[in-house]
Amino acid sequence: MFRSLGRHLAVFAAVILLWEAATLVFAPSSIALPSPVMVFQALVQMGQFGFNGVPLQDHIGITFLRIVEAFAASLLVGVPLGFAMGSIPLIRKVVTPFITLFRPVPPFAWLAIFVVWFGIGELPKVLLIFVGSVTIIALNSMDGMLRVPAEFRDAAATLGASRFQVFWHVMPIAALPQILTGARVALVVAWTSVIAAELVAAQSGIGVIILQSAGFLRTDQTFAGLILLSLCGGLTDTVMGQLQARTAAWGNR
Amino acid sequence: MATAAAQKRASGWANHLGRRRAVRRLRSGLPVIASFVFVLIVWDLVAATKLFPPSAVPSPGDVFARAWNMIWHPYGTTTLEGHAAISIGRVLAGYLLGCVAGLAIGILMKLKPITRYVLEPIFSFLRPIPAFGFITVLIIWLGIGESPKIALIFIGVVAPMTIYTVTAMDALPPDLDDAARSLGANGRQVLLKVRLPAALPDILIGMRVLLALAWTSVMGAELIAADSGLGWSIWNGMRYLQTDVIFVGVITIAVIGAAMDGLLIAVTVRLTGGWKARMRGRE
Repeated sequence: MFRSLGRHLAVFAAVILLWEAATLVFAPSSIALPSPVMVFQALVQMGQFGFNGVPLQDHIGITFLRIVEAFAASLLVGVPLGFAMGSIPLIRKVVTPFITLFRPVPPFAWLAIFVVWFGIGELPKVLLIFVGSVTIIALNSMDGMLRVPAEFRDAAATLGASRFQVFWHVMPIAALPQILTGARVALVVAWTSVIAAELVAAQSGIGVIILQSAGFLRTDQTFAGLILLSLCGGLTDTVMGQLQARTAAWGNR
Repeated sequence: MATAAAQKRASGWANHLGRRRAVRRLRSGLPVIASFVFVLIVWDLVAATKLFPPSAVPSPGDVFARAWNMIWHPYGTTTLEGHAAISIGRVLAGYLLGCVAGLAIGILMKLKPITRYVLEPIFSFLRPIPAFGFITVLIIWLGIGESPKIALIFIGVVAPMTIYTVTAMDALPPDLDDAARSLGANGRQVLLKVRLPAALPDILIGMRVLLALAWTSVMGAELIAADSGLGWSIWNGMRYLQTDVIFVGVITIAVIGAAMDGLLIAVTVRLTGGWKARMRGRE
């Protein structure tokens, strides 16, 4: 990631220059295509005066808060559920068909039901993110559990570990790379869900900037919102990627 | 010819594997049907307790009645099957265009490294943005007709499809590369005749993920400036507290999505079953 930073910056600089040149040459209306300078100004302006009376950092903060709350909840539920499914065949056989049954429902579709049930507060948004990510984390935790090499368990048992100690001390560590793989995918889905929730019914958040700015025909602010979204989503994904890289040493592959 | 015999043997293998798979699928389908019946019974019981008003939890009977009504009488601009046909059309158009374009860009990135050098950072920037984040910009650019909706699904599919194609083509087992080269294939021939076919199974798995994503995208596309489609029906049901309509829409999408997924699996088995059998014979 960081090795190719220079290359990324070079390409982004080239794209921004081309974009600026294109807006100078073709002079489109700023509603259709604002220039990069205008987008940057919109970003600075939102930083100073906020958007819709809410400071910019609060928009970003509430989006992050929703993600963190839902992500923590899906880890707390998903990992133990996955472990239970991985170690007790009966639980696996009972839970899996339900996951199969509900999988074809797009996460977006849950949102309409949650809004009807829980209104437009924080709960339906956090719940939507939770529903989208918990199955991914549970399935990956189960998979990680099932794919722990038998030698690991045997080695621990040979050294005198009890069955509980193997389950408690060996399995979670051995399954960690797979759990983190699931968590990384789930986090991407979480970003999708939070923007979906904020487009449908919200007062603040990055998704609200993207939606409402377009309503005021402030495309420069929409672009600024999309760039913010890419940076924030990219940031969390990079952090997860680094965590993954650190555990990859004892990964399955 | 020897190759014809080998092909016949390989397709025999594929049929055999296909039959075994069918039996396995049937057996693995039973628990899903059981869980479906279980959910239906619990749902009906919860609705029958009248703890929640029908506007929150309609009974399965209410939902079926609403579906029946929507089939015979228009809901909004058209009937249920009309909405379904419109959404399927949008999904198929955006998905197929996105898959073809992603495959083409992916192959181009492998053929000409300079395109990869330039495009990879751009895709890495676009990747964290969910496709429906672009909905307002697309409406400004393309209006409120079909094109922004199809473009939205296209955008969601094309970037990951490119990444899947490149990643799958990167992951060629070295012995296949060596074998092709020692038989005198040049770089381009290895790429198009060895790397691409070898990557096909992985690409098809990626396409399965993207089909589900396309159905999520169409709900985003039908959220704003739409007056038809299953997604629109769901959002309209939400706005007017017609919870039974939401359920009809959600269940219809789930059934169609599962059917298309099954179709794609069948295509995958047909396209790569023989290939996999040949690989197995090689071992």
